Amino acid sequence: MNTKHCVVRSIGKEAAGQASAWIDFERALKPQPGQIFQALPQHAVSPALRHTLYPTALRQAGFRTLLPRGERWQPGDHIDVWGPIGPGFSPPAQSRNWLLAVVDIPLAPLRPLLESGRSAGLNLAVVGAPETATLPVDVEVLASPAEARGWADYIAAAVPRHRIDALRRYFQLEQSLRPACPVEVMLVDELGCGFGVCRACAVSTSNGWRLCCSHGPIFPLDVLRI
Amino acid sequence: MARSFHLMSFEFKPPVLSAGKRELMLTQPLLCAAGFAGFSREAEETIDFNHLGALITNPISLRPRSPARNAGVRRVPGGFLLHSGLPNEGLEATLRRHQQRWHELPCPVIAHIIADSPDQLERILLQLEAEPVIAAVEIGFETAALVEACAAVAARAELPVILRLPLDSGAEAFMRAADAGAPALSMGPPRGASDRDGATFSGRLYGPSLLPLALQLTQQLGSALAVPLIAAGGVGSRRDAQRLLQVGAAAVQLDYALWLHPSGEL
Repeated sequence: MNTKHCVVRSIGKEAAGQASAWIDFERALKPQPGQIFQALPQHAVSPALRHTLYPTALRQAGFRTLLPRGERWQPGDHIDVWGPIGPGFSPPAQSRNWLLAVVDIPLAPLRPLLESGRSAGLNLAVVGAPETATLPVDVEVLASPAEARGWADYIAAAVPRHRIDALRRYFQLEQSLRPACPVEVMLVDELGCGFGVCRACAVSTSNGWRLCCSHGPIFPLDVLRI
Repeated sequence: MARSFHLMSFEFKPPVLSAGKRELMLTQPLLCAAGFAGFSREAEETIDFNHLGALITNPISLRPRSPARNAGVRRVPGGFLLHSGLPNEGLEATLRRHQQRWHELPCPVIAHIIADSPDQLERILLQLEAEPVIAAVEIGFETAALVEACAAVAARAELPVILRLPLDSGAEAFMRAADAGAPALSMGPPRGASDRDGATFSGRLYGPSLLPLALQLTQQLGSALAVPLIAAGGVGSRRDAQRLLQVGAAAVQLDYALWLHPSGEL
């Protein structure tokens, strides 16, 4: 993984009110929805760990991300960025009706996928997001996942890793029950090394254990055994 | 670009880790701590193994271990907690998978092992002694409970064995381990916990905040121990490593520093 020397272009706010930063790449990249990054500001004093960033908007020139907790970045700050990490979301090519779901977090990490779906003219619905007032008018807001039964042909969800059971309860799915349509889950959590050695991001799956930093952080829900 | 860790100008006296039939001379002062560079070559695009005294592998247990259900990383002031459950394929599968890769590394390989008892340690050592590519073994302890019994086993081993005690065990625990026969000692991460959003997360503690502990312990033990002491904890710069060597460490393990700046110098 190469280091990319990036610059904070601007500081703003996400739809749910959290501070965010727009980061410019030094040269154009094309990150995919669901890919993540790790970053370390060059001004960091005695750092211990890189920040794990889940982009909330993507462009070739850079990406927007929530500011890591406790960090105060300023426009012009130089940031060393690693990534993109992971393959991103993989919605089935024929899918047309996407349900995007979050549990215990804002919709922010799914926004790049939402925008990708809108660009493709797909039918989009969101459930569980606290910031529904700021969604585009062409995105339907559902009160519960049950409303999407029989309609959604692809579900993308984002949940803190330790709350995966809450996601299953939300969808009323037992661990062994196969969902009616493909469900991909982004496990949102801090990464350790980011390059596959520390195993802090390892998750058990039906195919053995996998690493969020190498194989994820997006997994089909039905293969997860956590 | 792999990261270079060479301490070019510092005077370093290579320690020799001895055992029954083998010895290992650490020709470079910096080693990678267990869990921070993988089992063999996983990190070779990021870390320059040419300038490391040894690769200490990720922890290996006799039987396979799965990831902990609540594995993860949590930031805390001055560092982070890490909990993985020490997932690995088990000793036999690990040897099969990584043996050839170990031969290809430019530095010696020290196998870090997990043993629940002195008997289990003995079994693992017997297997590893048959692997010429394994230069030494490090065994990690969470508490002092088994240290002295395992030190006696380690003293009889054919391979050099390093006993790793948590940094917060205190100097006396290290001295007792040495008196019980430990051929070499290293410092391991202490355990800690963090509460956030009503949930408690426990794990091993790493980060710059540990350097004062490591430095004090090395100063206390550096000249008192008759066996090599490999210091670790909080090393984030060349100056940190040099200081530990100056006050008596035989070598220094790098942990979080290995991840931070893949394209920079320590």
